[in-house]
Amino acid sequence: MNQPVTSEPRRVAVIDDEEDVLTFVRIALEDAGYAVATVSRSTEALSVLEAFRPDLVLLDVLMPEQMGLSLYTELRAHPALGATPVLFLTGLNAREDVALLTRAAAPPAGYLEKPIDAPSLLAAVRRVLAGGTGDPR
Amino acid sequence: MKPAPVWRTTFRATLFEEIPCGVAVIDRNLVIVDHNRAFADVFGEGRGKPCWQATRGRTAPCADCLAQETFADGQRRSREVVGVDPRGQSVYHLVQITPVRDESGKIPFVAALITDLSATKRLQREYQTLFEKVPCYVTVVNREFRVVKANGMFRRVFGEPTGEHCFELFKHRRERCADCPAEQTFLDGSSHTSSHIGVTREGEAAHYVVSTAPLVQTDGETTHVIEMALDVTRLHHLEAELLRANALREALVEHSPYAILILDHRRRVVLANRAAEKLWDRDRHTLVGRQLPRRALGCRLEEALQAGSESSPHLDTTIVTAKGEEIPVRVSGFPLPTADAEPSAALILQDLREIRTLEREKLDAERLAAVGQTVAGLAHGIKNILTGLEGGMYVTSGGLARGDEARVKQGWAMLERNIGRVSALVKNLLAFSRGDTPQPRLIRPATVVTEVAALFRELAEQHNIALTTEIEDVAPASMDPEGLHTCLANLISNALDACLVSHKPVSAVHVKLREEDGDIVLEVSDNGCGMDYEVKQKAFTSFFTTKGSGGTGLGLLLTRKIVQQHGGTVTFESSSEVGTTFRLRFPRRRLPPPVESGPEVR
Repeated sequence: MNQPVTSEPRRVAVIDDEEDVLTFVRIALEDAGYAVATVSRSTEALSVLEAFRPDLVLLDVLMPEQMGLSLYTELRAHPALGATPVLFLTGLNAREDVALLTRAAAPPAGYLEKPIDAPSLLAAVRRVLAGGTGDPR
Repeated sequence: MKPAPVWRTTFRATLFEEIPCGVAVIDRNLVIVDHNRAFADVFGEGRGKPCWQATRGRTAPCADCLAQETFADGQRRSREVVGVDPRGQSVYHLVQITPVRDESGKIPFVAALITDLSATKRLQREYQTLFEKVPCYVTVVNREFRVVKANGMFRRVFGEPTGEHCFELFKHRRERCADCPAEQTFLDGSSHTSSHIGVTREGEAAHYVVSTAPLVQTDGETTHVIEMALDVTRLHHLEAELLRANALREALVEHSPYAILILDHRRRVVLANRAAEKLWDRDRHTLVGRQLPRRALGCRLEEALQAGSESSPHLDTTIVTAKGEEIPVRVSGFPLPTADAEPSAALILQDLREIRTLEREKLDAERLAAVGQTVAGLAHGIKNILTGLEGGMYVTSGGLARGDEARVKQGWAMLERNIGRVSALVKNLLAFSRGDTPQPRLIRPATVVTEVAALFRELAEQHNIALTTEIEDVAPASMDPEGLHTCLANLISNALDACLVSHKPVSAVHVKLREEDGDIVLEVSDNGCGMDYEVKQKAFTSFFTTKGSGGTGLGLLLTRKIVQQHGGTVTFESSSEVGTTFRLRFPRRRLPPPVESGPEVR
C-alpha cells in the first residue's frame, strides 16, 4: 500500500454531487492511507471544510452548473482555508474552458479530468501535497 | 270762374277727414282752427288750442316755429319733430307746413300735415341694433368699395373705418378682388354670396363667407352695398382636420399589413383593403358590394365576428383564395359604431404563413440549441457515469482481492447503478433528441392516466408508498397518447423517488386529472423530500439530477418539451422536506389539431 511519508495521515476533502464518485474517491484515498471527508451539497461544503481543515480539496467544478466555481471563489477568499490547495475535478474536455471560467479567481493547484481512475487520482493527490501542480502533463 | 261741382266739395271734405295722416289748419295766431280725425287720434281734440300746446304739450310757442316762417315767406317746408301725445308718450312726426292763400294771395292759414314716424323710427332702431350686434362683420361700402359704415364686431376687430377699401381691410390687398360680390351686387342689384380667404391683423389666414345686398336709394340706383362677412375659420379648420383624419384613416386601412374588411348590416363587404386583395388573390371589386364568397372563410362569418372581443380571444382559422389555396389566418372581428341604427362590423385577418414558418424555424433552432447543450452536458454526464463504473470496478476488485464481501457488494451496486444509468440516458436521450412532432389524436385523457398510474402501483406498494388517484373523465382531447404517457410516467417516477429518500413514516403520491376553465389539468403531488432553492432553479436543466446515479437529468426536460408541443405549461410548487406538486396544464384551444392518419403506425 502507498503510505504517505508523514506519521499523521494527510487530510483530503472531496466535494462532488455524484455519490458514486464520492464513494470511489473516498475508498481509493482511504486505501492509500489518507483521512477523507466527502460533501455532496455545495451549500454544506464550507462548514464541513472549516471543521475538517483539509490539506487538499478535490472540487467538482461543475457541481450543479456553476455552484462549484462560486464555492471555489469563496474558498480562495476564506481566512482559514484560502491557502489550502484545490484540485479541480472536471468533466470538461479542454482545460482552456475551465481556465476561462476561473479567469477572475487564482488558478487551482491542478486539474483532474473525469473519468477518474485510481492510479491517476492518487498520483495527482500526491503531487499536489508534495507542493507540485498535481498536473501530470 | 265756374263754381266747383258739388261732388268735388264733398270729395275734398271726405278726403280731409279720411286721409291717414293728421291735418290741422292753423291761423296766424298759431291757433288750430280745424283738424281731421287722424290728428285727433294722435293728439286728441285740438280745435281752439295753440298748436304748440296741442301737439307738443308746450306752454309757449316753439323757437323754431315752421308755421311762422311759412306765414312770413309763403314757402312750403318740412321737418321731423318729436311731439307728445295726450298720454305723455313721445311721438315722432314728419311735419309739413303748406301755406293756404286767399284770393288776394295773402296767407291767413297754414295747413300742417303730420305723418306719424314712430313705427318707422322703431324699425330704424331695431335695424341699427341688428346691424350693430349681429355676430358677423357688417359693413356698408360705396361704389368705390370704401367702407363707410361698420358694425360693432367689425370695429372691435378692425377698428373704426376711416374710408379704407374693404379689400384693404379684409385681405390686405392693394386692389379690388377679382370675385368681388359687392361689385356684382352693384351691377345687378341682387344679393351674392361667396367664400373668401382674408388675413387677420395678426397675419393669419381667415376664412369668410361673404354675402352682399343692395341698399337701394329712392331713385332706384344702388349707391351702397351692405356686406356681411361670417368668419368660418374655425369651421374651416375643423373641416380640414376632418379631411386629414379621414385621409389618415383611409391610408392606415389601405396600407395595413393585415387584411381588413368592413361589412354592412347585411354582411356585404363595403370596403376591402390592399392586403385583403392580396390575401384572397382577388381584385377588390370582386369582393366589394357582395357577401364574402362561400368557403372564402374557413369558419362561420358570425364566429369570426365574435373573435377578438374581450370574452373570446382571436380565432385561428383558414381562408381560401380565389385559386383554392388554403391560408392559415388569425381573425379578429368587432362591431363598428354607426350613426344610424344599422349595425356594421369589421374583420381583421393576419396572414399566419410567415409566422408559422418563423415558429417552425424557432422550434428547429431551439432543438439545435438543445442538441448543443445536450452534447456539452452529455460529455459531463457520461464522464460521471464512467467515473462511477471505474469506481465500481475499483471497489469490487479491491473487495475481491481482500475477500471483503461487503465491499464487493458495494462495488457491484455501483456498477449496476451506473450501467442502468447509461441505458436510461441513452433511452431518454433518443426520445429527447428526436425531432418528431407529437402524433395527436382524439383520446380520452382519463384512460391514459389510469393506465400509467396502474403501471406504478406495484412499485409503490413494494416501497410502502400510497399511490392514490382522482381521475375526472374529462371530454376527449386531441393529444399524443404516448407523449402524455411519458410525461405522467416521469412525474410519478420522480414523486416515488422523492418519497423514497424522505424517510417519512407515511409516504403518499396523488395523481389528479380534472378540467378547469377549458384547460385539462394533470397534477402529481407527493409528500416526499421536496426541493430546496438550488434544486428548484435547476429542475429543468439538462443532465441535472438529484438522484445521483439513479437519474439521467432528462426526465423533466423531456416532459416539458412534450407539454409545450401540446401548447401547455409545466409548473411546480415544492418545499424542502414537505413535498412537491407538479402541474401540467393543457389549454384546449391550444391543443394541436388531431392528425387523421399518422405517417407511421407504432
